[in-house]
Amino acid sequence: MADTISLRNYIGQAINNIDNPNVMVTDGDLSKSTKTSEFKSLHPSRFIQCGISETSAMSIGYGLALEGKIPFVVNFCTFTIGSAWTQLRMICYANANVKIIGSHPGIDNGLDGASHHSCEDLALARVLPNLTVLDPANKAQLFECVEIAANTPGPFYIRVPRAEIVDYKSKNKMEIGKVDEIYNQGDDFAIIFEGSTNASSFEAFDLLSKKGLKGRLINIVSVKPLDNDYLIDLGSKVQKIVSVENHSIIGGLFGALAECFMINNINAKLVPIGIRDTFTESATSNELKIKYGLTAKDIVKTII
Amino acid sequence: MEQIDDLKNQVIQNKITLMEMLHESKSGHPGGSLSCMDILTAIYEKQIDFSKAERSKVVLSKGHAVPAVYSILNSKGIISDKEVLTLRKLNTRLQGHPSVVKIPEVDASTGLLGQGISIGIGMALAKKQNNSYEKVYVITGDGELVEGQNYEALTQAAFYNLNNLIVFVDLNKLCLSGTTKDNMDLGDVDLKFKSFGWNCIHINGHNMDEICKALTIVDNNQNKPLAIICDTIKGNGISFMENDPAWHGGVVTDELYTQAMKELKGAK
Repeated sequence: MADTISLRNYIGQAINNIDNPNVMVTDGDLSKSTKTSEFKSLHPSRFIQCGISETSAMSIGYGLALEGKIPFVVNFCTFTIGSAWTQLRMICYANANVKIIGSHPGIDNGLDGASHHSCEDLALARVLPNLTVLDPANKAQLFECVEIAANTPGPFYIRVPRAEIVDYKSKNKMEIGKVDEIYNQGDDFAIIFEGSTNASSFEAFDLLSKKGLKGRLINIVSVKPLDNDYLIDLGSKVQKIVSVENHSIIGGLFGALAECFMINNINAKLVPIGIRDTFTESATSNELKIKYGLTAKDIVKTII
Repeated sequence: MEQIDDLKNQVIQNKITLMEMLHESKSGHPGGSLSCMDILTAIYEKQIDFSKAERSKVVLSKGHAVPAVYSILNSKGIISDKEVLTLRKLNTRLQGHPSVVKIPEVDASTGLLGQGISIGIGMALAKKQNNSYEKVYVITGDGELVEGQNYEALTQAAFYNLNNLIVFVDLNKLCLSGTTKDNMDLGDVDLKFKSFGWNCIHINGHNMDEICKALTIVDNNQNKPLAIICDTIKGNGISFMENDPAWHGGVVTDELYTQAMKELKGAK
């Protein structure tokens, strides 16, 4: 098994990796938590401290983009997609070249409690036209997502885990609209996960494999656009599919997959793992995963 | 003086185009478009040069006044006489609020009130990054100054000493529900800007001499963002619309259109 890491530790490095003087970063007094402090160290003149001001920071990003800059608006998931949603909506309406990076998705910010958890951001982001939604699940993929976002016109949202995840090596090159299929050993089952649930998904896959089941392990990566061709084929062949998300089961990964299957008339056996339409609470994120049913055991139970 | 008279005549021509548009669309926002027409005409005539690749920009924070901008873009040949009559109609580029995707010359998609100053900050910061001497002009209504995001923006613009950012406040003292004083009193708007660290001047937003003098200050502004608070009259120039909150929106009927055109052409 690969090492576990917290991807948010590499947000600053991933942006620093973009060799383009038009790249800028806006912060809302959280650069130490989101690690954009590392961008500030290298490029102080391109780092815009906005203070605790999520809405204005988002609109400032919009203004920067209108003048040809490539702004990265970085904050906790709920403070970007949540607090500044109407500002983001205008960015998407203008198809402006703004890149949003959210850290601390789902219940990753466990101890701070439900106010700081982000179990709605995928739903809020997915519904916006023009917005590409990426959800990396290993370090190399984070760097690829940031690079693709910087080099592709239009608004992007990149959801970056705070919790420890498995830093596995993808064999597939990151592409917008393509899943990262990690294992394909058969069609007994499939686990499709989004970035911050990769540890429990890997563990569940191992447990199921040891029980003699042959299945697939899939990192969705591109939440929007979806890899429709792959999913239609998967939904037609696989006995049982479980979606795993550190997010509400309403409007996020499960919602996206269900829409894909229904629109394409695929009668897939799809089961959700995720937060079930409730506000969560303070505790460590591992304790919360047990209480709210996001563990490997919970995933296994949906298959057997 | 000659230039001032030219600008005044252009304002009347723009108002005529505006009435033609609103009469044809039977929808739109006449009152707030008319209150900022002098300001917008002066900015576009004096400060905006569409032939330059890097130029000053206008952010219409009070996006509902976009018919005023469309009429100005019509005068510049960017929107044709035929197209200008398609306001708010199916498949038009002339959306009810500015869309930079449909018409790049509007500079920013706006319409959700209270966001324009922040957008202007981003543009002003980018211009400084690019060592450009061009400016960013934001037009806000007074009603929208209740929106909290404005005060995040006022703090940030002062912090970054954005002397290339100019906010014109179209202080027409009316909102949809009635007077701003009765609806949500803003208190002393000048003092608000000053206390946030902005330079601030207060002018008559229908006096072209004063507007042009204010734009001279813009060119020599030292080290702070500048607010130009403009006393204006909602529905300015059309007697039955002036100071009547009902003309925030409202349909310009054939009869009222005839009267409005008579008044505007009489003012020429």
